[in-house]
Amino acid sequence: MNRSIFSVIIAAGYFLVQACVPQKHANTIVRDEENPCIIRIVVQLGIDGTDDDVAAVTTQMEDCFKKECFIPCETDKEKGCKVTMNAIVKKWSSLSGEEKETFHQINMVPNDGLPSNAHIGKANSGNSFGTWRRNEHPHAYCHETMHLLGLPDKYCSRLYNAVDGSAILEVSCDPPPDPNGNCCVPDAQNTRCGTPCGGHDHDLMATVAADLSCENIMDVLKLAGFDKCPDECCLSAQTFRSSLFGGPSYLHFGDQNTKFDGFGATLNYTYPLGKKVGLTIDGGYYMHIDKQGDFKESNNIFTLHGGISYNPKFFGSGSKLGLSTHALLGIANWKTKVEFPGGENKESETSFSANLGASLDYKLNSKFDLRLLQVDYIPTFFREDTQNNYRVSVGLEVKFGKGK
Amino acid sequence: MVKRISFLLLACFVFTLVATAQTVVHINAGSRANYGTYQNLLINLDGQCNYQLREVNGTTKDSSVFNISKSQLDSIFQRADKLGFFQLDHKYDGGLADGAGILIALNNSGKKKTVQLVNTDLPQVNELVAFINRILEPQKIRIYYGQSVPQK
Repeated sequence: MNRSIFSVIIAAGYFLVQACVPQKHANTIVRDEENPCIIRIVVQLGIDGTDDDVAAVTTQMEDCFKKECFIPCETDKEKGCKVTMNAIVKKWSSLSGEEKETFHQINMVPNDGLPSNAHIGKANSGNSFGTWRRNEHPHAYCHETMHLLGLPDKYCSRLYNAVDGSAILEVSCDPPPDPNGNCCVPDAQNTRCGTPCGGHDHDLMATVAADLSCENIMDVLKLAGFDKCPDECCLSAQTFRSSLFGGPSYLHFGDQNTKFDGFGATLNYTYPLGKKVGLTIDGGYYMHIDKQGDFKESNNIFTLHGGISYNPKFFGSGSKLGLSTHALLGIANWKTKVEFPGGENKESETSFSANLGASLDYKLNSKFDLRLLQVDYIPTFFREDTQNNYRVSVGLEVKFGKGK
Repeated sequence: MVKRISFLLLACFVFTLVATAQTVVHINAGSRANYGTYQNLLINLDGQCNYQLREVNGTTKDSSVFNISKSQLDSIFQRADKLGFFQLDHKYDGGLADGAGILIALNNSGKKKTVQLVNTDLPQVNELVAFINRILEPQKIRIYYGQSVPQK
């Protein structure tokens, strides 16, 4: 219990420290080094103003970035990547010359009724700048910060020129078209008008009355190329993918008359046909050597089977454990060689064989599983008898392909 | 004959009405965002001024109608000419999102020019606005597009 609490505190401390440590860029959008399923957005604001300005911007940005967003996997909507957002707000005058290169410069001015502004920035590159009014609308700094992160406005606007009676195009929607065909109609009384672009009526980038949404965050991630959750976050141990397994094996071979324990290696390949069923080819080679004085007997077993494997998705989708079973048919070849003083005796027989088994895997990452245990029953029919053989294997499994 | 004279008089009346109502100075200054306020000043050929302070897509916060003299109106055109206003480009953009700007449209006896500034300033426009603000001072109106905010 104490160990669990300690681990949680250490993890929380790690993320807190990561969130507060100044980054190399004014806009940092990266996968977490420890967990690639967490995407971190860190924006660094250098406030060229008073301590009160720093406090006001900090408060508004904390409120803005409290949103938690999740990028669902295409294959499994329950799995995906978590997005964390953090604003590091510092007083511009407290930054060193080098640090100033990694912070957006925000010039704070008294509220003169005009809106704040911001230069549209880029992810993981140089800093940008803006002029912000004090005591702005509660979402205004959030809106401008999204500009610093690269988002454009999502409204169109028109100006009326009363001298020649024309409407001047000020801002157009991207992508077009402007709503109502021509955005809005200004006149001599209402000489400037604007309308949210289609589908953006409740978008912070169209109206400061709206809250920051996960769609806004996704737009930032798209610009930075982080809008897809990687396979390693989407595929569980239960996802059925092409796999190649290899590892050492123990084979117990024998019937009433002959028994021996062999050691060797097993290799198998599985190709998924559906979400739960696949084709498997399994091969192995196992040896047993018995030496007594001048007498030496070696037994070599070669097996080759093919058939159906079944992945019942026994464990939950979040589990790292995976269970699969298989039923295969094939052949087994048994070679014996007896060496004694003055001669040797060799025999080779091939028999029909089956392979019924199950394996338990532990997902190491998106490419590798550790096969904790594979147990197979491999009957053979040599010398007009039935050998009830079983095999135990461990090893490493390489997975590839998108899976079913 | 009477009909023709009546028609001529009516035409003269309509022409006079249109001519006197013709806007020769239009200034829109303020918000270039989806929020904030902007000022709108229309001056017609007779020097009649119509001023409004409005919220973007919102209500009118202040309005007034007043007159400036013909000589004051002429002085605006003369100052614009002297500053090279009619030779300026149509638009100057500081390349920022939101913020503020100004549109000035003038019609000096058919010589028309419209200049827009967005999140930037230009000495010619700054001086012309300062000149107009001196004329508007008795009305306690100051055309403002953020010109006092230092530019980066």
